[in-house]
Formats: sequence, structure tokens, C-alpha cells
Amino acid sequence: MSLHRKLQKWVDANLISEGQREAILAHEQGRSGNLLKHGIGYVGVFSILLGIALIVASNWQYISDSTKLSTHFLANVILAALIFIWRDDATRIVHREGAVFALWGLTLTLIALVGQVFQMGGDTFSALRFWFWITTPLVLYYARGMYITALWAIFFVVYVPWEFFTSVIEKLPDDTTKMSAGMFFSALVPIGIYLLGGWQKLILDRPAMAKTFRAIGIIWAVACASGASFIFYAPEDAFTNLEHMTTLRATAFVSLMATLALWYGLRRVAWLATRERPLTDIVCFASAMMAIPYIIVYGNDMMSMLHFIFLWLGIGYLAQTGGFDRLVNLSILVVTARLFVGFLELFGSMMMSGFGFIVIGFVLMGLLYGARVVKRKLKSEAVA
Amino acid sequence: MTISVREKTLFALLCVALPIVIMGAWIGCLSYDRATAEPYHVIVKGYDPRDLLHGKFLNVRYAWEDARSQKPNRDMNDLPISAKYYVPEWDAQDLETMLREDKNTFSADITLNRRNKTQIKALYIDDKPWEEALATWRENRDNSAHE
Repeated sequence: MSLHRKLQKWVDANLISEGQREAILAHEQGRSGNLLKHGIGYVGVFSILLGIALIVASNWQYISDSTKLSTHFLANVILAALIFIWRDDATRIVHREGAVFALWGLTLTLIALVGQVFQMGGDTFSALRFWFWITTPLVLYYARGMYITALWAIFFVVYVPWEFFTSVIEKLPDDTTKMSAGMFFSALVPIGIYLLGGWQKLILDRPAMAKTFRAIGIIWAVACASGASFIFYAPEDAFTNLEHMTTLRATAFVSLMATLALWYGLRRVAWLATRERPLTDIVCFASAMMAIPYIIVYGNDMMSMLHFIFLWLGIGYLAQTGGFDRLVNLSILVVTARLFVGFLELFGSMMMSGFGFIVIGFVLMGLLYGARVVKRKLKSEAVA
Repeated sequence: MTISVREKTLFALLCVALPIVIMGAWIGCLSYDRATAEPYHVIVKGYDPRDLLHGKFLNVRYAWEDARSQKPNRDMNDLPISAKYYVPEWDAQDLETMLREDKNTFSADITLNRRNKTQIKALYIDDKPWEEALATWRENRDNSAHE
């Protein structure tokens, strides 16, 4: 719905006055004007840089190695100097942000160029790892905008756990230990990432980065918990090869208990904003649900479907309590899709699937009715 | 704990200078290594026929045993046996074909440092710079295709 129509609806519903509507529209139109001005400016600069890059690329073979290296290095030094000069200049915030972004990217291209000139023969991941660590202080100190901080946060959350997986978990002695450690790590790290995003100092200093961390924590927990339900599909002999099933189950149980304890504790801490509580609940709930298939281990299609649906119904309920409508809609959509797939798997024929859908429909409506009754009862008790 | 303006400035400088200083030092070390390492001319072969070209890199094996290779006065067991050589993407496919044909002799000017690490400085095909040899090879290929 356009802003005009939405504002008119609010005026009609007596939520805002006519004057407020005009003020909001004037503010938004001013913003749009600035956006256009800046946008055209950025496109112009980008076009010039692209042109220079294409000219350089077409003559790449004729430029000597020392010229390539020294020119690139000089460009990086100039950018670093500009960033330092503009560090406290309030009128140069946008310029500084652009320079930080350029230096961040150009450090990576300089690494690639060094690899090319000196025939290092290294792999891409090593180059990315080197680049990430040497530029992290730059990004953390200078970057303020959404794009750089969010990109850095995504890279951090993807790269650091991956590094941990490859350098620690992959080197563990047997499959059972690897699976146990991987599960424990996947269940608890999202909570850690989410809490990092909920750290007040980070929210104040780097709101975009904090928001990205919180979003990644939620996505990670929900994705891993959803994926864990597919453990039930594993053929039985997949687990007979694991030497110590007790280790896996015990780790999953400890992980579940640790998550529940964290959840209990987090519901009582004062520094988590009230608005964030349902999201904290979702992360903890999903992390707890992740452990369950590893405790049961041997299952079937039905158990997989039930785990998945229970997970997403829980997410939907928690999202509903916080007023996160889009997440509620997503959970309804996901549950519907999973039910459809589940009945095709379970019954196969259209007739049986039809009966199945009717039954599950009644079950869901019954659950809804039960939840309402419980809620009403709790409310009346609270009032009394 | 309060941070003085001087400390804050120093910290800001450190954060922005770190990638510059590290990259500068790295380039300096590599340049020094290249300038001071011992140069050799070595015959090279295709390293693995299934993976001669990985992206833009030509994977080669040093044929130290070849009589035409200059041999360093070191324990041969410590010498590296393979290397990657960066080539432009648009030349990679044809170079691979040339290496597979086995009609040409590939050799390289390399440097060998004290830690027995090598860097390929230049690649030759039949003792000509590879760009020149590749151009001739392409010319011959195109001519034979027209005939």
C-alpha cells in the first residue's frame, strides 16, 4: 500500500490528524529528493570508476607488475589518509563511509594482485581470511552505515563458525564426536550471536550491525532446527556406523538442558528490550528443538513432520505474542507446505490425502481453540 | 576509564593504518625474497592431466630430474615438486591444450629462497616467452583450420 493511501486510512481512523499527515508527507518527499540527488551522484562516481577499471583491464598485460602494485598501493594509502582526515568531520560522513567501503574492497583486490604478481598460487579462502582479519579493525572503528556493517556481520557470522568447524570439529577423532560437537555448536552459537546483537553498547554504536547479528541468530537457529527434523529420514544403518550413540544422545540432552537454562535466565534479564523478548524466545525455542531429533535419533516420516510442524507452530505463536505479523504469516505458510508434503509422503493416494488433510485441519482448529481457552483462563486468573 | 584525545587519535590511526602497513610489509618481504633468491631455469611438465588448469592457474610439476634443468646445490628431496602459475583466463584453455599435446618443451625461470620455496618468474615454451609461443601456435592452428 502506498504511503498516501496508508496515511489517509490512518486519518480516516482518527489515528493521526490532517496536519500530521501533511507533515509526514512533506518529510518523506524531502527525503526522496535527497535520495535522488545522492543516488545520481553515486551512479556518476561508479560509472567513472567502472570506466577506469575497464580501460586498465583492457591494457592489463601491457602494464608492468611494479606499476600495477605501486599504483594500487598508492590508491589504498590515499584512501586511508582521507578516512583518517575525515574521521571526526560531521560534514564528511557519507564521504568517509564511501572511502571505508572502497578501502575495504581495494585491500582484497590488492591481496589478489600480490598473489598474481608474485605467483603465490594460494586459494581464495586463504586470501579472504587474511583480508577479513587485517581489515576488521578498520570496519569496526570507522564503518557506521548499514551496508558495510551488515556485510561485515554476515561475513563474520559465516566465516568464523566455518573456520571453527574446519579447524576444530573436522579434526575430531570419530564421526560420533564430530556429530555431537557439531550439533552442540549449532544449537548454542545462534543464541550467542543473537545476544551479541542484543548488547546495548553495540545497539547504540552500531545499530545496523547489531540488527544483522540478531537477524542471523534467528535465521541460523530456525534453519538448523528445521534441518534437524530431517534426521528422522536417515536410514537406520546411518547410525549403526556411529560408535557411541550414547555420546550423541547425552550431548544432545546437555545441549537441550543448557538451552532451556539459558532461555529461563534470559527471560529474567533486564537489559533485553521488551520488544525483543519474543524473538529471544524464538531463538531459544528453535535451539532447544534442534536437540530433540538427536536424542530420539531413530524415527520415521511422521516424526519428522510432527517435529517440523511443532517447531513452526511454536515460532508462529511466539511471533504472534510479539506482533511480528510477517513471521506469523511465514510460519502458517511453512506449516501448510509441510503438511501437504507430509500427506503426500504418508498416504500417497488422493483419497487418503484428502482424509488426512481434513483430520489435520480439525486437529489444528482444536489446538487453536485449546490455546484460546488456556489464554482466557490465564487472563482471568491474572485479573483475580 | 576515560580515553584521552591523543589515545583516541592513535587508535584511529592504528585501525586505518593496519591494512596498509601489513600489505606494505608483505609486498616488501616478497620483493626482497624475489630479488635475493637464487634464480634457476627448470623444465616443467603438466602436473595432473585431469587438473592442469584450476581456474586461472596452470598447475605444473618441476622436472628437476631433466638434464636440461639447472639443479640447485641442495638436497633434492627438499625441493618443491609442483607450483601454480597464474595465466590470464582467455589464454588458459589454449595453454592447457599445448601442454597436453606434449609437442613443446615448457620451462620456467624460478627463484628458490632459503626456505626452499619457489616463485615462477617467467614461463617459456620452446625457450620463447609463453605469450609469443602461444601467439605462433594460435596462428598455425588458424591457418591449418582454413586449409
